[in-house]
Amino acid sequence: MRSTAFSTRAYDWSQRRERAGGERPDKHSALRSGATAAGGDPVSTSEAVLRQAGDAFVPVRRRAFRRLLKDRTAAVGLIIVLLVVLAALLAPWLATHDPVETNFSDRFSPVSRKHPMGTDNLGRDVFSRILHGARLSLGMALSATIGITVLGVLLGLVAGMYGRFAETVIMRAVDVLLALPTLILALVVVGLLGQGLRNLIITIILVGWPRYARLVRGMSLKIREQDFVEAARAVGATRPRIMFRHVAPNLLGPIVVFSTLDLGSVLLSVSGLSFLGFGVGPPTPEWGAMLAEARPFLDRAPQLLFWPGAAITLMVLAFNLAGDGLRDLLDPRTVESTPGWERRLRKRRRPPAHPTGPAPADIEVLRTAARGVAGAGTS
Amino acid sequence: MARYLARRLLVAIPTLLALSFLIFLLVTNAPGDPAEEYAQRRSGSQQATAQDIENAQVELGLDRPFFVQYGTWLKGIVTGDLGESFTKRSPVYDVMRDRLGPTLELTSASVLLILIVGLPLGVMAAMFHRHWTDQIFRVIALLGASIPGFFLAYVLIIQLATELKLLPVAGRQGLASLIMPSIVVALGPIAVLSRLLRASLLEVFTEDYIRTAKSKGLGSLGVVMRHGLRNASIPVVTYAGTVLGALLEGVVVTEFIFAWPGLGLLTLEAISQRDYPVIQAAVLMSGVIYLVGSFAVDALYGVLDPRIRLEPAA
Repeated sequence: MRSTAFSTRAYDWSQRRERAGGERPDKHSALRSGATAAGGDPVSTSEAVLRQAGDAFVPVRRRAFRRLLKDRTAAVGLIIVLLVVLAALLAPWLATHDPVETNFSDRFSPVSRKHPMGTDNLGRDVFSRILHGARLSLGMALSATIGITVLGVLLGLVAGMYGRFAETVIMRAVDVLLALPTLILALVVVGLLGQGLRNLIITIILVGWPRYARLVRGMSLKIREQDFVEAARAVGATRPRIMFRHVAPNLLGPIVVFSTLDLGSVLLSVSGLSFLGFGVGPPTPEWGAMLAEARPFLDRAPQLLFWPGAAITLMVLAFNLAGDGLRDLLDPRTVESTPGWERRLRKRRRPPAHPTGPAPADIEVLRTAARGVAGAGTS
Repeated sequence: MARYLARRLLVAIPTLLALSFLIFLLVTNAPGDPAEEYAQRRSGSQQATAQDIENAQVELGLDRPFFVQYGTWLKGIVTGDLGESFTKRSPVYDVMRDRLGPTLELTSASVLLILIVGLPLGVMAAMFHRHWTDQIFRVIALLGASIPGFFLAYVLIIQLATELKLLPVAGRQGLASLIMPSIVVALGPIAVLSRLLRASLLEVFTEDYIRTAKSKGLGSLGVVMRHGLRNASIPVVTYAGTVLGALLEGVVVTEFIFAWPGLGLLTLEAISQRDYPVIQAAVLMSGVIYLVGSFAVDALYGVLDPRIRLEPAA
């Protein structure tokens, strides 16, 4: 299996370049001169033409988003995520107390108007701590996910586009890192880096990128064989340019979906490691750490364990709901297996069948559409 | 098949070698000096003299160059000698053997739970497709997949142990103490497994041979059992590799919460005490288990579906 994978990438790039750049009057140079005749920089003009082809499919994508909102469960997930993110952003104004201010005369107080979630073992207001904790927990999960995606996409692209030595090194590293369960590798890495917020994020990025790199490499191997890449190569685009302007925008859509699906599990890793004591230090409100702090008071004040735990569960649930909806949307097969009532609901509310272009569920179309939008954004 | 697995195993050797090097590199470069802690433990005071620390370094072999240490360790692994624990001063092999039993207990109870709860749930959800029960299963599965083990554990402890006093809070005393930890480890995999099985069964239900089986008068349960399950098992088996990872991870967190004296707790203890030989051995072992598990999954494909050929058609 592995040997076939290698043989498909055994693709002589230099030869291609030579042919495209050579003086022989073949179809490539004809295409180039045509582009030049249209005026302006030959490379960017033909690229613009290529992008325009993608732009035609944008409405499909917009409709896809509307469909996502029509999916009741996905909409619930999205709304929860938005509400909590809003609450996290507004935490300093919404919080009734200072999250780290202690008050020893008011410890373990029950739920009241003054303290909507009671107070903890040091008399700190739990509600304010949960709110501020949302900033940290979600912020860490989000920055770790972004870091994972960027690193994974970059290394995967390099592996897929450059091949040879770079590919061998990167993919071997991926193999080694994926040979351990994520949490166990994370424990060893965080042990090396030491406790702390930044180290926790770095750990999760270091542990998380290999799956993305493997995915991106596979996708870029496929994309680079497509005609528009060949066309770009023919007009003399450099390899980094092809990588970032033609290949990367095409895999961005699926990768964004993939990382959205991943947000919940990244949040679980972040709070899990914090819970085990590898996250932020004690006074800082972070959901996993709050749970760990409440452990000794299991008998006396079980509600202290409940609030942060429920917050984590709710967020992971919301990410999963939204992610599921997103996946359903992009996977044509799931339309068949959605429950009857849900399908009927979708059918009723969906705008009349596709006025232009092929079926919206076609993942190729979505990819092209994604490329069009991403490409337009960068120019 | 045998040839394929043998080749996979050969490919795995450099991976394992690189993994062992990575683990060694990470562990020995972690902040903190195990020799100093060792000297403190030995003298029983917070202050250890420079001489004591130096002696401890020599004793633990930490004064030697990095590659010499790694070479010695690697040679030891090949010959079955995992070194000696810094904190317990006994062979790592013995320390790990004592902890293996409880972990095996916990994992086998969890696997049993996953199978006897997850499979029927998946079958039922598929058979009740488009019925309101399917929706209930869906909600349960979503919750089960979303609730973190470390929260579920405390929900169970608070409800079953401190409120109702049905089960012991923590520790390992008899079968009753096994119940909560194995639920915590198993819930996530149960949720995902049952959803996967449901989806896979629904796809199989559209096949012609299912219609044939139905038309010859076989009851719907009979159809599922005889013709559905085996054909639906491929995607489920693919997930088995992930289950293995979830088990290895779940065991760490769960053993920590329930003070379950197994390998997961040992790993955490070793990390906090900087017991290098134990960390290295435990982490390497989970890597080996993980790799072997993924081979087993590959081997299972061929057994379940003879149409799948693992060896390239030469």
